[in-house]
Amino acid sequence: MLDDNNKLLRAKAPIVSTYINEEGMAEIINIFLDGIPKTITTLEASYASANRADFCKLIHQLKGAGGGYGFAEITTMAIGIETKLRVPQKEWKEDIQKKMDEFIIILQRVYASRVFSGEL
Amino acid sequence: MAEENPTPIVLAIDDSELVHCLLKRYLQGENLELHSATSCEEGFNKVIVLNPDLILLDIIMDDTDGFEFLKKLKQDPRTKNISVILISGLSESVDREKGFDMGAFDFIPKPFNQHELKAGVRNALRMKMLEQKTQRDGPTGLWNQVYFKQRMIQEISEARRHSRPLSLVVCDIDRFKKLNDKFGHQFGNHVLEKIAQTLSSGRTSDIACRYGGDEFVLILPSTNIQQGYEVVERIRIAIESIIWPGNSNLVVTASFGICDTASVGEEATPEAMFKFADSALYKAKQNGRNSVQPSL
Repeated sequence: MLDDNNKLLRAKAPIVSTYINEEGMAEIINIFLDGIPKTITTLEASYASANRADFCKLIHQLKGAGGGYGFAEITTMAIGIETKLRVPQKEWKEDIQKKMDEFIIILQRVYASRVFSGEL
Repeated sequence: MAEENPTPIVLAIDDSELVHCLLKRYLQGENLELHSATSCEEGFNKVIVLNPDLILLDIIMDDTDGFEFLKKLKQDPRTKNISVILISGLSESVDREKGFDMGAFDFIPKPFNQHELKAGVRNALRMKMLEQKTQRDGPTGLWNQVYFKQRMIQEISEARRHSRPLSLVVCDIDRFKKLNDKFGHQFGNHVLEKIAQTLSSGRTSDIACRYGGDEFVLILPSTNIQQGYEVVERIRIAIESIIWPGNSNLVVTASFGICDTASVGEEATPEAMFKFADSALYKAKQNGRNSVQPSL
């Protein structure tokens, strides 16, 4: 999927980890970034199939891990989605659709920093 | 002297591999041994095997709620004294309060940075070390009576759970007061140290503690009274064989009383077991000292 989106990813402003210059962090940040394509796929799949449990779990994990890797934007977005998901509603998908779209863009911009740093 | 683990063991329980990767990186270079588990079930098994000094526990996980897991840890005599730091994305004050009320040592919110994580972990391990020091007997380096009582509760529970025997030995140095009076307190302290060393130089699974004065206790896990008798008889012979510098003709001996869970019966409690072993010790003294007396 990301091969198809590479042009798009490059076109967007990458979000670079605030910890990228901290000693020993680049390696694990890249591991985190390498997992982003799969994360997006899983997130989209659980959203598309309305698998609320899997979707909530992934959002919660991203909330906890994102900021730890220096991507506060991931945590902030995930908190927004998780807050909306706290209210059990049948129409949860519709309710968070806009935020979900924004979140995917954030994740793509984060991933773009991998491409960006790889080209340096 | 009883063996101490110089490197603290920390177990991280979190269902996110991303978090484990971060923890590993952030705690790299710290004086600790980091282990990981990605579920509460795996985590509990590792807790039992590793007996960690500190657990870093996520709250929201797939198989069990972290609070439930914390409750389980605090209710189990084998694990209730392990320090737990909750590391969670739940950032409401009410969640923190609940965690502290349930016995958590600290709460670190996710996402965490390496400085707050390191500070939290160091603080918890420092407190643990201080706590352990309060469980040690200064002159001999053995565990003290406070620790003995806690450990007996754990060992009896463990013995019951696995239908295993457990023996308890009470030991008293023969005519210690006379030794002190004749050779002085400095020599008396040396005798206590040497006997403590002898008591703790046996099997690694045995737990030697100083009960007070010249009285010691030895917990023998997975050992029935017959097996325990043989263990203690070897210790008794080792003690009477000690050569005392400057007093080469002197023979210091000790008397022992031993009981096991079977001899005490269904009502085996730390107090009951101590009473049985102590009564047996009294008989050993009455029968001429320097002997091992099983509880009948």
